[in-house]
Amino acid sequence: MRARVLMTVLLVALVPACKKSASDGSSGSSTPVTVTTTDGGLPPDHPPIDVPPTSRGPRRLDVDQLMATVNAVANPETPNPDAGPVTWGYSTSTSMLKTMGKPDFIYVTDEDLTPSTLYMKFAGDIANDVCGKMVSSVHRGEVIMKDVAATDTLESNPTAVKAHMRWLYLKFFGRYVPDSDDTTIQPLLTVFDSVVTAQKSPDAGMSTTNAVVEGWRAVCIAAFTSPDFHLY
Amino acid sequence: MGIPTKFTRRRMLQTLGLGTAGFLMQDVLFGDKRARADSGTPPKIIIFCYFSGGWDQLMGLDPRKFGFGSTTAGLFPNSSSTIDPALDQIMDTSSDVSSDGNTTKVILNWINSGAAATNGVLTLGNTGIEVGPAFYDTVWTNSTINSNINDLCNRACIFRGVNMGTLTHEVGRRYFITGKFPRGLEASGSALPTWIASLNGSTPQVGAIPNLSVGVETYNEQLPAFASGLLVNTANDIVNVLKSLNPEDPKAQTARDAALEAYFAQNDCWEQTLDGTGLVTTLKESRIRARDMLGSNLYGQFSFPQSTTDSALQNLYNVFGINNANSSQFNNAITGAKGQALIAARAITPDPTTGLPVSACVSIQLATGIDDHDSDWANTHASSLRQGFDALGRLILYLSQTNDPLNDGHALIERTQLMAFSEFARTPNINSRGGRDHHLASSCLIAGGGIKGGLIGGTADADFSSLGIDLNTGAAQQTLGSGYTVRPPDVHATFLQAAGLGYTNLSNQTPMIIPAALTNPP
Repeated sequence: MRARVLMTVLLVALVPACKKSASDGSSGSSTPVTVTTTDGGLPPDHPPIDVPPTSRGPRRLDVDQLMATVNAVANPETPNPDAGPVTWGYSTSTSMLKTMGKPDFIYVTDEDLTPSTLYMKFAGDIANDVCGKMVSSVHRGEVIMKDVAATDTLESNPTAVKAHMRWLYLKFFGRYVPDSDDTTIQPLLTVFDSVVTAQKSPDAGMSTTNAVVEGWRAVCIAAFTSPDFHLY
Repeated sequence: MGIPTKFTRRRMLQTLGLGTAGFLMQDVLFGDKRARADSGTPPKIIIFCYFSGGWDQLMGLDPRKFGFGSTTAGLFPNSSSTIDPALDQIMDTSSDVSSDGNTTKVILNWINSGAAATNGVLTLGNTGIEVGPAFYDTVWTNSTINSNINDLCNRACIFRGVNMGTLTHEVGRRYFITGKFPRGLEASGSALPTWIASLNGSTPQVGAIPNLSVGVETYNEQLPAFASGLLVNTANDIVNVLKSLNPEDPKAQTARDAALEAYFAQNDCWEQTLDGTGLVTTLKESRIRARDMLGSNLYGQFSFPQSTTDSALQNLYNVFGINNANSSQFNNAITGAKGQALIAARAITPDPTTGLPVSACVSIQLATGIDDHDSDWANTHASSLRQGFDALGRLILYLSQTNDPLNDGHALIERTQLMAFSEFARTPNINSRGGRDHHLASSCLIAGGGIKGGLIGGTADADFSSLGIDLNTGAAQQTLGSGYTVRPPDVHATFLQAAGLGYTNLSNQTPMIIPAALTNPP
């Protein structure tokens, strides 16, 4: 093995030594190098760019951001003082937040911001807990079913359901979806509709009201675990 | 640039030279053929044991005989050395490994009664390797609690005089965790367990958590997301990780789960935009892993009640010397080094029915808070190390006595690599505050498949500096400046070589394989 490495080094060293010198060939004189510059600092021959490239790639929410975002999304701007705000049950547990990766600045000073298995497990826990509270009878009219009735399905009142879904996209993802755009909201509409349909089926046997609530709960969980929610 | 058409002697030699160099460098150019475990073979198990804070060598893996007031040559302290074992200052007020209580001063009693006869050092079985008071009355030295001490001691390969190159906790810790010297305080490269988890691949046999880290920093630099360490602090954290915190009516979940799977299977334009660096893909893969992990109901493996009817768990309590008849002792044990060893044992042992472990790569802390610059050194350091070494020995015993369901007829240890380390050592002399400060020449212990037990390297009697070694024999070279000075990347590369795994992750550290530590040296 050592001999192979030695031979390799010698042979690599020999290759540049074999390079044709300027004096022994027909093209003896070296070609002068011409340096050209372009406006905007682009390399020569690079096509013009109208818009400067963005300065950073997407990032994942850190634990503090996640907690703040969950509280902001799960509650109306002015929470009902009688019902209290919707929060994740473990949001004030220091040890739980540490398990999720929040630095304690004693032993851990950096936060791993990869969307890891651990992070997504807790994202699922948060979604299940918070969405369960959001669809409860005291909170459902605040955010998750703010502009729809418990009897509104995609079949019975598509206009209201779609309008509310557009509002939820703005609330959860910060994305404004114009009335003319059904494509953007289609994935979550499909979640809502398929759950409502399944829960109303004879196998599940739910009432329309309960099925609709389950539909919005599914939308809520999907949104809270979506890449759109966790990456920015 | 034109294409040369004339075939000359010079061109032929150039082409031949490059071609031959390419052939000879194929390992470098195209990757190490040993970089991955053979497909179809069970994954490698790694147990990474960290003693947090910087450990005292004289009490542990690199002792010197104490003079007990004598001026006899060869005993320490003496006039030609800065080394002072200072055993007369040890008060040993912390907990005891056998009772897990706070009253038995085992090391102090030994020093006051029997230690003078051996000048305060112990010998590991029939190996001839001397160790310090922290090994007293543990599974390494007490035949009452371990009837086959020689077998255990012969499995341990101890490296002495490992040059840590830093006296900063974060740097030393991250250096040994990754095998690569950090950039400033920032870790460089991936943690060793992460590297091995990536080589193990993403198969069910690596467990629901391919890389579990209990309180030990873990890093992933440019390796697949599945190999990232899942960092938790306690067994209860593992339960929280493995168990849904909000269990629901399964009937309500079924319809929703189907809708959610369909939702996450989509990849719309917005997600494609976000996925420039693969973050969306990673998030979706992680979500599926989290779902599968919850579905496997593994959390029961990490629930450690004091009273149990589970015979397997009770057997583990016995193996790790955890007395669950006494509440106070049980709580001390389960939150200490024994509890950490228990977590590792539970995590890596494949389920007899499914053949699947919870995790094939586990990092644990066998000692915490041992950064003893002041009088805590005299009161608790020896006891903390003793708890850690006892748990470490019990873990190796367990691995060597437990059948491997994935390799029937063989013990788990044959598929396991185990490493115990700290970020650096402590000074050989006592400071003005009655403690020891940070010192470069540290040690570590490795064991497992492909590793030959014994002693590698050493430190100078004059000042406890690292001595160079003969790579083939492992013997320390007493002449300063001769031999090779071992560094963490050398230990890592040798460790990986023993497992039959590649170490291209360390390529820019120019690691040296130490044949003396291997049963089958290259």
